[in-house]
Amino acid sequence: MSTDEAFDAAYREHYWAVSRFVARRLGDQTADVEEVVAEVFAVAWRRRAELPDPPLPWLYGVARHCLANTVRGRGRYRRLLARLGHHEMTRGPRTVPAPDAERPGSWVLEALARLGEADQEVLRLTTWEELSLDEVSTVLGCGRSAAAMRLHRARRRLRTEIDRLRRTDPVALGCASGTTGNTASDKDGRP
Amino acid sequence: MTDELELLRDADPVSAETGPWRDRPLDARAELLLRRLGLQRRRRTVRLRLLAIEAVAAAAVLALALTVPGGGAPAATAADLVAAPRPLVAHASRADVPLAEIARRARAAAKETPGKSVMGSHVQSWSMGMEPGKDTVTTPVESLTRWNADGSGSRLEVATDPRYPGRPVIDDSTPPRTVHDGKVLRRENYPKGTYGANQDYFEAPPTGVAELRSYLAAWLPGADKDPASLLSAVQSFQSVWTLGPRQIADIATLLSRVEGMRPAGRVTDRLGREGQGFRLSAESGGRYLVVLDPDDGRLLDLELTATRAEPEYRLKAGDVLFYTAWRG
Repeated sequence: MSTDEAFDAAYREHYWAVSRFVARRLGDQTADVEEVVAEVFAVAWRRRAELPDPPLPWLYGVARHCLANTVRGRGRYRRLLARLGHHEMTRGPRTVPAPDAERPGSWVLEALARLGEADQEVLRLTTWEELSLDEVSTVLGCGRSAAAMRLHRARRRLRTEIDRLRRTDPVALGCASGTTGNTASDKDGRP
Repeated sequence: MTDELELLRDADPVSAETGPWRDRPLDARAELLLRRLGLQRRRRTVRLRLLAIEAVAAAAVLALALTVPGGGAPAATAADLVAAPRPLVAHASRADVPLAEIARRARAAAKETPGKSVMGSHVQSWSMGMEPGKDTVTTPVESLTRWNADGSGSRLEVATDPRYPGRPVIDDSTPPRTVHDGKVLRRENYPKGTYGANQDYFEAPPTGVAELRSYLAAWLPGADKDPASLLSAVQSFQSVWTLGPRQIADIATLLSRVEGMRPAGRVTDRLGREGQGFRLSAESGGRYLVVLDPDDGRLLDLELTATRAEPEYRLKAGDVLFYTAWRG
């Protein structure tokens, strides 16, 4: 199989998996997903001679870099708007919970969000992308043992945050709707 | 206690089974991106303006220049192998009906004869095409898709060229050859529950112009802002649904509000029907011809032509990049 054919095959097989990878990390900004995915495959195309077998972890690695650029670009944009005084556009998340906030498991997402980005990523790769440790190490650009260590630490911290949430809000965690985070709690007048 | 990884796995916010990122064959947008990348390998230094227009338009142009080897296929005459159709011709006349009037008639027709949109479609289509790494032509195809309430359905595709009924049709096999008119290219039966699992626009379309615009934009972001994207969304939407009078009126009204849509005149389309044509030049190149039934606003044809020559691919300004003619 030629390099071009391998790229085409990888594209067709993994386009939606890469889309999900990007969508999970962009949160509710779904309008940007296709743009980032297009960038991922454009970069992958330019680097197609490096395409390994299996290609998916490598594609995820490319996607991580593209997402980092997107986030950096957003940061610059926000700073520019802030200088121009567009406070409405630059302030933080609104107090209105998104529809997803009511879905089961949203409190687990809150526990995840309380972790550092490195911890979050190794957990997402393991659970949502269902990668093995070898594949995680490919995405993160580290060795297998380092990936295992990162996962071990991240799991422990996630468990701590879950326990902490359980202690502080047992009622909400006991029902399917969960909580919507600090903002919603503040709104409700809870500590 | 439940394992924390298991909890997190269950909280995955993006599903592979449902929603816009679910597993399925590539949609038109993804195919467009792949074709763009594929074309880059062939034309690294040539501008790509046309490619930004439309999925099928991005498809390559090699069909035009194709020389077909024999290779055991039925003998093909030169006429058979002219894969690209001629563009439709519009004639301005005093009898032309303005788009706003067509939209008004469509709304009036919807009030008189209400009816629902139906899953499935019946279309005649052709587009330039390219497979990475090899030269191809594409076959003019008539396709009939039907869906039942339980999600079962069928799809039938036959080769037929409305320009030359009864004559051999060029086929995009490898190597390209001709097949007889009406040859079944694809016949698929889908078990119940299939519909929605692997289809765009799987939810029933809403009524109301704004609602329909949002619905289209949900599947093709930008369709609520960019006229060319709107036309692209309408094309793919109507390849899934055969519209009822209300949605026909909504689409006609949407089109009547598109800035830059210019009257072109009366058109006799490839199926011999009389329609009213309107042109729209896409910002990134290419020109659409939209043909509507002047009486009820039904979309009859959508065609995209090149607005500039691409000598490397022997593409001339005015060449057709794709067309779709709705039979139903």
